[in-house]
Amino acid sequence: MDDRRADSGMIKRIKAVAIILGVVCFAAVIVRLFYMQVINYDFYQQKAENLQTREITLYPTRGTIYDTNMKPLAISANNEMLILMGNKLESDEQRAMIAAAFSEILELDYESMLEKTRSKSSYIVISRGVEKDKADRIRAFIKENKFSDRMYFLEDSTRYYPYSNFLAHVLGFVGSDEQGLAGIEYMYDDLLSGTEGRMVTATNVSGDELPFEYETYYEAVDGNSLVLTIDEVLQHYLEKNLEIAYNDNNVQESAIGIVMDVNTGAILAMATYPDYDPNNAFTIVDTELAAQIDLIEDANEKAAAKSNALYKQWSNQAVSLAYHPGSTFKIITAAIALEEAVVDLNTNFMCSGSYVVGIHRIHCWRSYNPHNNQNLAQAIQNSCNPAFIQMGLMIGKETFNKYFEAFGLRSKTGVDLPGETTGLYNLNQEIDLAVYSFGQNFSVSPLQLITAVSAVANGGTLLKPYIVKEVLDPNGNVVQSNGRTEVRQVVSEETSVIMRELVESVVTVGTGKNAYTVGYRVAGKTGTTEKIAEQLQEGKELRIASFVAFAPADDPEIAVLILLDEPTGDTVTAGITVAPVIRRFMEEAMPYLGVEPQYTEEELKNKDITIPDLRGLTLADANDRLKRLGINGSSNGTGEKVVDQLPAPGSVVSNTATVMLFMESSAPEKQVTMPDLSGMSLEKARSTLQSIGLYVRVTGAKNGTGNIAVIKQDVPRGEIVNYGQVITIELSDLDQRAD
Amino acid sequence: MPEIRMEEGGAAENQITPRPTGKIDAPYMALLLLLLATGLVCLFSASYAVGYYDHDGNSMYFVIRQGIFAAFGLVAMYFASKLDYHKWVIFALPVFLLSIALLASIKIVPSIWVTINDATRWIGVGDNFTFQPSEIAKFGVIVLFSAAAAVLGPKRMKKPHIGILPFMALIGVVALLLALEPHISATVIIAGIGIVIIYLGGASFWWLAGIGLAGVAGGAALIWYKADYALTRLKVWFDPFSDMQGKGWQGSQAQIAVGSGGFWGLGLGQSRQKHLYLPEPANDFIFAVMCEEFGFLITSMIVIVFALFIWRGYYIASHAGDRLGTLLAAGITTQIAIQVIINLFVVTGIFPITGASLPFFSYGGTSLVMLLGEVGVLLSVSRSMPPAKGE
Repeated sequence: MDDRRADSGMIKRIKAVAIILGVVCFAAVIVRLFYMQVINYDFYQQKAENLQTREITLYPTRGTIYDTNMKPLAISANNEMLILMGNKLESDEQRAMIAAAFSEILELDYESMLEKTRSKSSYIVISRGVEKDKADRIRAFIKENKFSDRMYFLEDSTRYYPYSNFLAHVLGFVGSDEQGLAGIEYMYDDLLSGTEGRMVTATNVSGDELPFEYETYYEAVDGNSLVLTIDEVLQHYLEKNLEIAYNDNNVQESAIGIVMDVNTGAILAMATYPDYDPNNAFTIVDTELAAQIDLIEDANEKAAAKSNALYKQWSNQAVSLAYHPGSTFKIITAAIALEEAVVDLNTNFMCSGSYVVGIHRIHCWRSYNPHNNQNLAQAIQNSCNPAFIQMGLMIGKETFNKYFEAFGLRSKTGVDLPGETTGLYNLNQEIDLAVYSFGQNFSVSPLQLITAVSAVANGGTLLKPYIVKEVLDPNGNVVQSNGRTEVRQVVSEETSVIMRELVESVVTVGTGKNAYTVGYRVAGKTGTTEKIAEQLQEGKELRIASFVAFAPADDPEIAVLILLDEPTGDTVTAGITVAPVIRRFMEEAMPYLGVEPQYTEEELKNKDITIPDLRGLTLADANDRLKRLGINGSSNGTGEKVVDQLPAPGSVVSNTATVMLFMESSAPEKQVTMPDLSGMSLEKARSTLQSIGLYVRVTGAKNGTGNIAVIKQDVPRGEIVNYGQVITIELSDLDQRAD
Repeated sequence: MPEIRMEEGGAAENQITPRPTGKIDAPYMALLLLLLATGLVCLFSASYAVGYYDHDGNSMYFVIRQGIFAAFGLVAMYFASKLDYHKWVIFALPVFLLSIALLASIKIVPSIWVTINDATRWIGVGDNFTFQPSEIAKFGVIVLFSAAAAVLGPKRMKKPHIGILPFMALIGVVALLLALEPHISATVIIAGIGIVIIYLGGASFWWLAGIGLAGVAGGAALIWYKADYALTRLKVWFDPFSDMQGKGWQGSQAQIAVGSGGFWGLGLGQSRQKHLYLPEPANDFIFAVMCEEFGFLITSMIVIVFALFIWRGYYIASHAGDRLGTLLAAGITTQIAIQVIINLFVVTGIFPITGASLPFFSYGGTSLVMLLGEVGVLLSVSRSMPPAKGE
């Protein structure tokens, strides 16, 4: 054996080394691999997934809310979402610099922005719904600082209410995450919001997408759209008139109105004034209140005061207010009495100015001049409390209870709006019955009352009110439609027919005269109640004045309820404060709804004239045309043809006017100062205007008897107007003091 | 070819030195080519993303360069295998001194050194080429120690003042120079190679064990001295996820890659961790990418191929024609074994993180060319093996 070769000791040593370095260590590696890759696989797999993927939420576009004629009232506008990759930021100075730029451009708080930039996440949502101009400014900022690897935009859509305050309380609004927080937006949030999608992308350590396809993509499903029963035109009329009434009557709380289709229960218009802008729902509209809240020092108190103010601002009082309906409820009492046949049209009701029930003496609103003997129609026209106490007692507690419930006044109407209230009702003793029969001491919501009155008007069927007519899928297909839902027959068709006439007579000859609408048959009932609890608290008179009406009286289509919560002024009764609001609304709504006007002979005689264009005609032709219209003309000068005229062509003017025809030269270009006509009688107002060369057009209670006076003029006192201009004045009967 | 006297006492003066005239060891060669080919495929996949991100979308950057290095390496291997390994005895001292000189140049002409990631481990030649003097030092130690131990013979090596002290002193010099870079893993590898060679050469196991114990004690004292630091390192070692965003980043990323490969793996090229999560997916952590893409089954097979390759290296060592061949083959095999094991241990979390590449797989020119050259030396040794019985 060659002894230069490795000896046996060396061979042994090699074997030992080979076993350690060639077997043991590698076996250890394989055991370790088995432990990691097979036994503990789930643990590492989970870690890998969390690490390597980025999940992006794909936001669906929220459904549109349309009015009944497909006018979009709430839409989701496409805009962008700003994403910051926090893991790419290099220093606190850079964070501060970016936060400063963002907070300035996006008008957001710097501190909270800085906090956001501190996250190490590669996907920080800085702001949703970034509008184009702001996004462009941020893009400029990105370009300027070469930050394109640190932030980017994604598609987004956010809610936008194109008509701002319009229908605010019904529509509601959405929060920062597009979730419905109030109104329809809240009620139908599930349908409107759609389903969020998800995109999982494999990313490298910087959060960049990997250069190969590795994605899981769940598409977002856009929300359904809603078609409301609300008619944008009627809603506009209602809102406009509520605002006028609120200002005219110096209302302390709110003006509320509902318009309902009496035959289907569809809500055609619904509003509360003051309203708010759902685009900025968290701004307190009442600036005085906001300033007061700002002064509160304690942070908790301040937050509480702010949230109270906001909840009140957002409250849709047409469904959430519980109030004493007062005399408007007399429609229901009379309908019950007729249906139960405890009275008929000839029943006599004696009013001595008050009525005694047990130990209580209850006064009539006109106790200073008792109504004495009245039949049923007169009792309603007079809104006489003693007459209705007698009616209530005739009906009896049990029957009254039954009907009260049957009219849906003890349960929610079931309308598809949030925040509905049912009010308080506790009828125990005879005195309760006596007071309830004229609408006091129990409360209902405005919606409950108008629904019950609609039942009286439509032939006796209580309907379930509703506000969403159709649900449309994202492609515009109707997936659900709502319509007339009968709850129960409450009174008979006969009773309904009689009631229509009786209630119409309140407007034609009774306490609702100021709601009389020339050309249309409006039925309605006033109601003025004291806010008893609040009065005790505040120690002063607080009233709710309301008026519930339906029209046309012979074949009702719509019911209207308008309510002023705390009107102030000399006379706050509904006949003075609310009835003209009903009339103004009806004057616009009836023609819009296509109701053919029907005029009495006297109305026809006093009809307003639309002045034709007479220029270029001969004097004889011009006079001929005026004669046919039933209006006088008078010429000025001696030319062959009419050169100019006053009032201008197209003007609407009372037919008592005399049209001036200028045969030689143009009408004189004079200007006059508008006088104050308020409180004047029609004759006085007319002669005042005539004396300074102005024409007049009259609206309102021009046919009535009583203390009729000007309450409104379309040009304010002191304004400069052109000679020959037509001034529209509004008359009202100032004697309507019934409760 | 001059004959070299390597026998003590001149007792066998006239015996003929075995010449490497046989064939190269076919199983060893086959295993090598298998590893090399697999290595290139893995490097292509592992470096794909880094090439894409760091070299302007050129995903082929690393694999093309590595292919060129491999070609150079194979040429070096061929010549080394043809060269009688006894010639290295002449070069033993010059090679070792050259590597010492190169290592020492870090202090003398630091300008030629290149720093990457806070470690100065490369000498730049021209603009595009760098090499690691530590790779040359490894070979220097193998050749010098093998030659010396073979010449001295087991009996003399048994004596500590001959078999241990001078060698340890040389290791100390190299370690000191490497500490300047610093390059801990190279120090460990060179110390390991040196110790294994002198152990095989006949140095006293007990003395070596004593020195080993002293080293462990010294390490423990160091840990005690810097307890807080050591504890954090230990904690991060045992549970890298406890400080995933900080010190545990590399460890946790590697372990996620390994574990999430599962039994079947994500498929070749499908690694996600290589997309900048893993540090150096083409170098020190290429094995993590392999684990992720291939899964347990295939990765284990590759590990077994490595084990067989190592085993065959020791087989050649124990069958070499003379002690010099034995020690050279064992030294080279030990170098490869230690490097592979450190890398696998680090990636799978058995060892704490240290920079160590995986032979034949990791991207790196000096390492690959040197390794293949060394394999050539080993192949030359294999040619000195007497034919197996029965042939």
